[in-house]
Amino acid sequence: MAFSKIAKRLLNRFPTFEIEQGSTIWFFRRDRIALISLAFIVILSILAILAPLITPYANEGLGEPNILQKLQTPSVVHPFGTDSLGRDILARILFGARTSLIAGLIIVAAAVLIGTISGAVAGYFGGWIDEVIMRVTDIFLAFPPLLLAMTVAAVLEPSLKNAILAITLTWWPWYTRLARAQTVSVRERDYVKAAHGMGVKNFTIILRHIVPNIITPILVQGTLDIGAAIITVSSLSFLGLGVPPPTAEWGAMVREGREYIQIGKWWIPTFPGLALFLTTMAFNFLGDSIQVVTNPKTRGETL
Amino acid sequence: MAETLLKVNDLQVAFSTPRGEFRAVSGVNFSIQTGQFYGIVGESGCGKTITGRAILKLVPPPGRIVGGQILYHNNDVVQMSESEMRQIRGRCISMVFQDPAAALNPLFTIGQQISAVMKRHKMGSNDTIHENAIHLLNDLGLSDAELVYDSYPHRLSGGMQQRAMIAMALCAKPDLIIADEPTSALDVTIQNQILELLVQTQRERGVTIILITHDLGVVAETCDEVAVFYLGRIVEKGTIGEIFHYTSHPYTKGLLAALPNPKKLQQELSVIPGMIPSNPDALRGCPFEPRCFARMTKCGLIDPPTVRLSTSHQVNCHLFNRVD
Amino acid sequence: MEAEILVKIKGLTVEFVYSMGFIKRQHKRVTVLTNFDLEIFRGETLGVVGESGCGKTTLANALARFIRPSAGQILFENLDLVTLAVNDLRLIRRNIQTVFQNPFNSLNPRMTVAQLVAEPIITQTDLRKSALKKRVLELLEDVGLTAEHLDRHPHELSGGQAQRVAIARALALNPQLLLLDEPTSALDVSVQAQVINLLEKLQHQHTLTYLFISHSLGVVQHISNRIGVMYLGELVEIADRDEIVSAPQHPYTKALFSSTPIPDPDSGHKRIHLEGTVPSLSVPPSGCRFHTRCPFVMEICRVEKPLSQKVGFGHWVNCHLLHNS
Repeated sequence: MAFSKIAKRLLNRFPTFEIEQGSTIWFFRRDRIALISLAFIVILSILAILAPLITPYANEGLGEPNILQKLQTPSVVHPFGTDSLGRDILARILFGARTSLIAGLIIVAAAVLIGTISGAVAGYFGGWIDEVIMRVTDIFLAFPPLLLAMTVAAVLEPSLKNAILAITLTWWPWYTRLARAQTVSVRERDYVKAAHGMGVKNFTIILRHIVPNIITPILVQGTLDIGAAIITVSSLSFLGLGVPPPTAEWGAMVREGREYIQIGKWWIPTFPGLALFLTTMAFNFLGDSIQVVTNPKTRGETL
Repeated sequence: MAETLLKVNDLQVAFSTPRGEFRAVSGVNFSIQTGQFYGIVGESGCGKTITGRAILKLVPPPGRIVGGQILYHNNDVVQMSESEMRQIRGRCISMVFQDPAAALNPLFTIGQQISAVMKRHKMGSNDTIHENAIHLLNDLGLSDAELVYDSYPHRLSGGMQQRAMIAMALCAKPDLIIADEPTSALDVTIQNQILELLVQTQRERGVTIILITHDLGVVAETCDEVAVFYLGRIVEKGTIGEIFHYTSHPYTKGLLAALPNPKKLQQELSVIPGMIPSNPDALRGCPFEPRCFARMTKCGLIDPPTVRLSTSHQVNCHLFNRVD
Repeated sequence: MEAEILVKIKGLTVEFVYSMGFIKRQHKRVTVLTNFDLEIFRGETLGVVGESGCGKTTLANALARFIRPSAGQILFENLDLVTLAVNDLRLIRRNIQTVFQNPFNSLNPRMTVAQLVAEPIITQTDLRKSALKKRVLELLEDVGLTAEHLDRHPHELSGGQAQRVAIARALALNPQLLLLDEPTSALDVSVQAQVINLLEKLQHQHTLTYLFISHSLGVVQHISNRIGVMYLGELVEIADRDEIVSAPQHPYTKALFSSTPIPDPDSGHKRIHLEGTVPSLSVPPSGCRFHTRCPFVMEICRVEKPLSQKVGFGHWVNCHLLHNS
């Protein structure tokens, strides 16, 4: 009784979405590949969240070995087989999904946040503030991203947290540059002048007028980058510098499986590798579609 | 030599958008004699620019010509292939655009751009081309023709750029020039110079000119005949004298009355109520009906007929329909 | 009409510094306005005309203090806007507001009409919630819009409607002076008339003073009480509208006014043809700046700058030709 009342109240709050012909979402809906990719990501995310509840091998997913079951070929009981410590690979992949998705999102979110603010401030104020911020950005940009991440990760002890930190340090400068370039073109617009004319304070102008008008290309870039972020985390783990065992992580699983492929236990690196491949591709397609759809000039191309 | 150079019959241009098909030009008819200075006038969204582009088959996608004929010397442009059009563009019909800074390629000098056109249409050896180009630039009032020839567009002022564009349009000796708002981006005193130049060009070289503009003042000063466009259709057309002194269509009247006329500084500018609708295809009957001070019931239901008021003056309006 | 001076501009000089060169940094100094004097009377519409490069937009920007003049005074209510401290300037801003040429550029596309009109009020006053909403609706009604427009974004409005929103926003703080920089140039003719009539109505209603900048002479002649003509950063002539339209004195004014295309094929008026193009501001001509294009140029024009001369009531001209009469 009470439940149906609440449900009704909730439904009334959310307006029915009539998808307007010609709107961004409408174009998006027509892009089948993007929709499939989105579905894939959503399903993967749900599976990742519910991982402990879905698989009977939850403990193994977390790392607990089960030596008796080691190196089993894929079967009904273990659809993806087991690894050298007898852990169900499917379970490990599900738990690894958590790591990869969270890492990818946090890295991009942090880079976007830091980059947008620093870029907007640099672009808006110009002068020495701009110089200082951009020089610092240039310094970070000079390092090959993976090398810098590796160095930082090597100096600090290997952990997911440190891997994320290391990678974020190499990623934010790109967003600063992007945000700054966008800001420079937006700050000359008349509506910024009008805000000055009203006496609006500088930081308010940045938050209210600049950021909302530069955020779209930045978010698009961010979406495109999630796939790359996931690969980078996995690369670090593959090199032994990322997530330490026994935590499940796709890159680490591929590393571990490398030796075993030579003795015919192909399933150990293959399934994590496949997971990495599909997930990154899904994010790339999604990002591509968003990029095409949010640009009014190219949006017809999805049809 | 009052020969018909260009005859447009029932031109239809449509744009396919996700919201459905949008008619930018629906049923436009006009004909232009050799040596005329013809004006096409209207506000934004009236289809004047698209019509100009359609003549050269330069309608940008998602737009395309979906009906009608454009007869140039009795050959239908609409039916022509792209390679046939390439022969026509520049050599027979050419175009002058609104913003010379945008229409001129910033990476090439003026000379390179003019000679490219001439070479394309095989107008002689390199030396001949160079000489003729310099001559042309001189004729168009650019006293430092050699300097302009070797300059990049951004080094020139707006007026000079526009003269260079006109040179480009003239260099292959076309019969017809379509000038699309050629002076809107220029200062008033320069605008004057360019308009005088166009009139002079027409007189001296016998080139026919179509001038597309929103400025009735410009039309009054340069054109022989004019067609008034509204929402993709011609509402009235005739000679300059007829349009300005025997104004018939309510829209043309409203347009003239809304202009601040320096000779008559009134109290309040008279206004055409409402605004240009964004969804014209949903309208039946006369497109101007919702805003018309003289509208009748049938105006919203039946398309207005084309009424001939004189040999050259026509109006599309129910008010003049004598069959009632 | 009272001749009370609202704004007095004295000796205003505005320079722009361009940094050029990568290895050897060069600074090019371009003076856009030089020693500019102007008085704006309360309640009038002062039209300012001139072609590109004449400095009229810079004049408006200087008045609105979007840029910092390098010298001179802008006296408003006994305060010099040029030397005013930043915080005091913020308070003064409510008195001088600007309406820009293209409303789709001057309105933040991400904000709704309600937010746009409310912004100045939120910034400068304590009005909130229902009182704020009431004031916003009041302003919208003043410009001929209704409550249904509140939640729209600029791109959902027509050009005319968007410009009305910009005007409503400019009036939100009850300014005394409105700087209108080509407010109708981006609009269609039929909409232009609506907006001009609106501006005139509002001026009567709220006792506003307008600085109306435009290159469209017809519009300026219609709406102005006085008209000032600028050329290459200087004021060459200023007079009451009727006088300057019927009897312009400066050769440039004559040429400019005669260049306006008149929508009357039988007007048959004489066009004064100007040769050449506008010189660059970075290398202005010596003496009288107009001498390079003036059909009546004399020797003295190339050498000496003409002083401002009174040729009638409120009518001032900068030209050597008038010395002879």
